[in-house]
Amino acid sequence: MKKATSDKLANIFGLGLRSPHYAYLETKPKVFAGWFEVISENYFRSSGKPRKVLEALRADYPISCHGVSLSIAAYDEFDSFYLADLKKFFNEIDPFIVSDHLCFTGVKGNNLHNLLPFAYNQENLSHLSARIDFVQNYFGRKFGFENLSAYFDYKNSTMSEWDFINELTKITDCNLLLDLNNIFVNSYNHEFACDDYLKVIPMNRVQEIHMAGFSEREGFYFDTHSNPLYPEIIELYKKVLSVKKNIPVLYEWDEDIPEFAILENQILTVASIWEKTP
Amino acid sequence: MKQKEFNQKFAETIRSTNESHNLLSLIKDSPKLKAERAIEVYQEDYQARLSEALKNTYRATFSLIGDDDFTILTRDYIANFPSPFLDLDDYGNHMSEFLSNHFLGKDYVFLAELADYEWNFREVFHMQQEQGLNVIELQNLLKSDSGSFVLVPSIRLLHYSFLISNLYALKDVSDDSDDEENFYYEESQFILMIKSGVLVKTHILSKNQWEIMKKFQAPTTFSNAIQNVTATVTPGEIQNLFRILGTEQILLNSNQ
Repeated sequence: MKKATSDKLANIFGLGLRSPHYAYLETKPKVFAGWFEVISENYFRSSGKPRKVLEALRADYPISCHGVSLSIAAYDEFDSFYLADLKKFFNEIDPFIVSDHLCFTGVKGNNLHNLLPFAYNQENLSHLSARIDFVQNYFGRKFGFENLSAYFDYKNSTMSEWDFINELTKITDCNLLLDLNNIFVNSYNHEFACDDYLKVIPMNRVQEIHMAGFSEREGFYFDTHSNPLYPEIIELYKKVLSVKKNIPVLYEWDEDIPEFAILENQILTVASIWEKTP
Repeated sequence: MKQKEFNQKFAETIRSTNESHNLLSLIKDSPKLKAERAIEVYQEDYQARLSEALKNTYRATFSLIGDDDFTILTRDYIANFPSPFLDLDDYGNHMSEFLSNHFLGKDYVFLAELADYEWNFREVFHMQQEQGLNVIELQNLLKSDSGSFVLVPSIRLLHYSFLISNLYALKDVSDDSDDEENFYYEESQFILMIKSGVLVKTHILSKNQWEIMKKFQAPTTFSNAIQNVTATVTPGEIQNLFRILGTEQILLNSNQ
């Protein structure tokens, strides 16, 4: 099974490739980022400009493929055409990391285009384990799965999110994509301690970290990826660094996307924190 | 309730934009967010994401009818068409047909055709470009009169009752320009849309040129294509058509 090859990265600081920056990146500027992450579904079936930009970029930078539609927690069969096209895409792009989210995104015939939470219980632990085994065997690659922000909890959850994730990685040997913004947003909205989360998460399985800016709405926090880095997320990052340092880290900005220089400043800030942390 | 059943009910609730009560007994209030409000957050997010996708694809439609009417249009479209797509950008394929029966499509008579143009534009944008015969190759085959030709797949031949490509261009006109108000659009238009590198290009054709071009959708010879065109074809039309076919390289030799 193909493993993530992030240990070969010369520069662990990455940025998400987004269409407003295509024109700038096509000029081949000298940028600080050492790698780029793409949303797989935005590229895998296109022969248009997005794909051309990606092809050009991958000549100069390692690429990570991050999906939003695998729907690993769904109870419908996987879409075989989707899996086949995604596999072909991975073979063409040769990403150093592949990932998706711990969520379901809809039901058969109706994609809700959102990352939706499920109950943390034995039923779902068994179900997700089987689905992750299938996916990793199908692709012949280890996947990283991202923790998500959820705006409600299930009454029939019998374990915490972090215990569920920990168990899942043990059973499936999958990797994790640790989104610090999502941990913080959930900890605020559902009132738990981030330390409780971080001390249980198996850091040796974290293949990538996501950082982003949230927004406040009616007294709760919303995972919008629409703001610069907040001090709370920096604090969480420092805690992760105290356990494991060389994890590829990405800054995401998906709403009201600013010019590239502002995005790049976020990852420069992350890099300076990394440098200052022993 | 099993997760599978919950997922189904959750999907129905998100689409319905009301009636979250059948889920409320299954989820917890959080300290910052009541369960009912949490469901609404997902409902609002669903509307927002699909609306944004429609706005990205139908930029000219949005620009011409404005924010308020476009909000009504997307709300009604989303209520009628759940997304079966794994890529959000694929959402909106029924817009033209939907507008034909929507009151906004009757208020703005060109709107269904404009939406059709925008959807075709999106499809061609994502297509793989296939390179056909260049001018010299085409000339040589025509000289021997043995060539049978067919159009490459990465094109669209479009016919509208209104000047749709001109209406489409208005999306780039600033709001304070008076171009839109003085615009004349009640004239039919024949369009060739092609993939050219990473771009989508269009050529406005005469009706004769469009009819000839249509015949190349199935393999045929040049002389067959020119025969049986409704009106008399002028030498200028043929010359211009040949120039487009050669420079854009959109004809394949179907004998090969």
